[in-house]
Amino acid sequence: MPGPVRKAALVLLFLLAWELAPRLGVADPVFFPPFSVVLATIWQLAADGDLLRHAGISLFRAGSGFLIAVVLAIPTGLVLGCELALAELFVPLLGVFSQANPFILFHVVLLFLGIGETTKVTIIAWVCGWPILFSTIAAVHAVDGDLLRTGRAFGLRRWALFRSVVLPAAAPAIFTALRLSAGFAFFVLIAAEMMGASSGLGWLVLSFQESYHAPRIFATAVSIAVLGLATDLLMGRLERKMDFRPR
Amino acid sequence: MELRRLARGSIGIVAFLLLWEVVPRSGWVDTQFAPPLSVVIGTAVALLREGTLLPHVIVSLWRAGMGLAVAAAVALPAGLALAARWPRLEEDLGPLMRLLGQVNPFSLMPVFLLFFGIGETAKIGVLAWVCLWPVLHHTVNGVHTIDADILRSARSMGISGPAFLFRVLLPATSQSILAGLRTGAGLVFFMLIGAEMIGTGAGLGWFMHNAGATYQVPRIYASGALIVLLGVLLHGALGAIEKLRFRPRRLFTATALFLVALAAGAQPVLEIDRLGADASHGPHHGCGSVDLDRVNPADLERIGREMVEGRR
Repeated sequence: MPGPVRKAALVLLFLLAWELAPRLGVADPVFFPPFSVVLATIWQLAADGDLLRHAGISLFRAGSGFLIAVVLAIPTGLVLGCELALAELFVPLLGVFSQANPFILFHVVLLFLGIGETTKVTIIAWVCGWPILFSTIAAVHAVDGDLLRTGRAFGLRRWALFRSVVLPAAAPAIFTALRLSAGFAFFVLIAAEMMGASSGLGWLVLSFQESYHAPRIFATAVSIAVLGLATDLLMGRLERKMDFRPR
Repeated sequence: MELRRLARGSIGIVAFLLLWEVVPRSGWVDTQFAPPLSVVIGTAVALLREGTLLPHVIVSLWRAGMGLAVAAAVALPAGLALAARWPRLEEDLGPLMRLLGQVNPFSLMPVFLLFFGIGETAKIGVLAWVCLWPVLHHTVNGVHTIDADILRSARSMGISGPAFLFRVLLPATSQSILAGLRTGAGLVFFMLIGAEMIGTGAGLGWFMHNAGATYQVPRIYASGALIVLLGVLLHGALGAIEKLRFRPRRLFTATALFLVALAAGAQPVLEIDRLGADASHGPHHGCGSVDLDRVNPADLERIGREMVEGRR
């Protein structure tokens, strides 16, 4: 069997096991509904419009947090990457900040902004920002010295050197970090919505959990996983597109 | 040079801490929302001295350690076996693993609660799940990047079985495995705080959440600072371990110590949970083991005091 077929077969095998385990009584169907039931529940939730509405809200929150992080972290990273003196001064402090996990920040931001969209978007931006910032700094530092020397030899000045040598050389690593961060955005968003929201997929899971409705819990969890996977694939494509290193 | 770099780096941190002290005192920020650093430190020291925080620290560290241990116990053998023995299966499993790795741990929490019921198992399961993927990924990668010559010479010398594992495979992959464990431990700690906030009756995350729910602002900052400090220490310790050279004996000692610590921690943690369960009545809500507000804080504080006095 060729590779892709075997890979697909393993995924199907997993789904088949999921379908059969509750049906054959290996797992209790009350707690562990078969895959087809979960799919039907997703369909039903989608038809009600509930799932799409909450998914839209979640995507909007994750997306705006991510964009804020990108807009703040990449320029800061580029500046810190180019200015060694500034980096020496600030990077250790930023390292400590990056350890402040978003759930801690949630409570602090809550004090100032109250429960609302701003709080959730802020903590998502916070989570996404650090990997982007540190990878950007590292990417600028890792730019090949020969490239810089060649650029200088061609008479490129500071800004031109930055634009036509440093930026393209650092871009692939920055995009890898963007992909990582997009994953984080989702990861934390679900928790943030569980902690303080009345909409979004995280809230939806929690509300189904409170009513002990297993098929709906699974349906929402699967939808969240699919959204996460789709984001990852999309960012992966973007990453490969931006990778113009010579092979 | 190194010293100068260190000194420069600490300038930023010291300046930030000074600002934290000065800005609230000068009235630019409301001290009710942002107490000065000295107040926060005072609160933290008092909480630790009275033993209020200690049970929560122990519970949190124990949960994180258990999550890490379970993940390592599954992912290390699986990763080594898949990559070294069945590389084709490993390659074929790629998409399925990627799919499973995308399952959001927080959305998994209600699912695990359905399976394991309310208690430590569901929480540890979620933490182990988070940690599993990076450890597995790094282990497999580590085996893939072993120099083919090393494997060939091992084979030609007829090394197999445990000797192959301890003399060839583990030393060659230990760097990569440790990097995976470090990533995993970071994620576990990160997740843990979130999971504890969403629903448990003890732990640092719960403590902070509770302080937030009751508007005890200095406590919010004190527990937050402690969590950050623990995170920085964990990161540093794992980084230092990563720099050590691999020795089978070191591996055994470290594993044994780790397991003994977990075993020793189990009793007080379960005791704290039991207290919480006793204190809670009626239906639970949230995804936690113990309902937040029903735990008697006095009980927890008593355990903490006893711990400080060394009776436990």
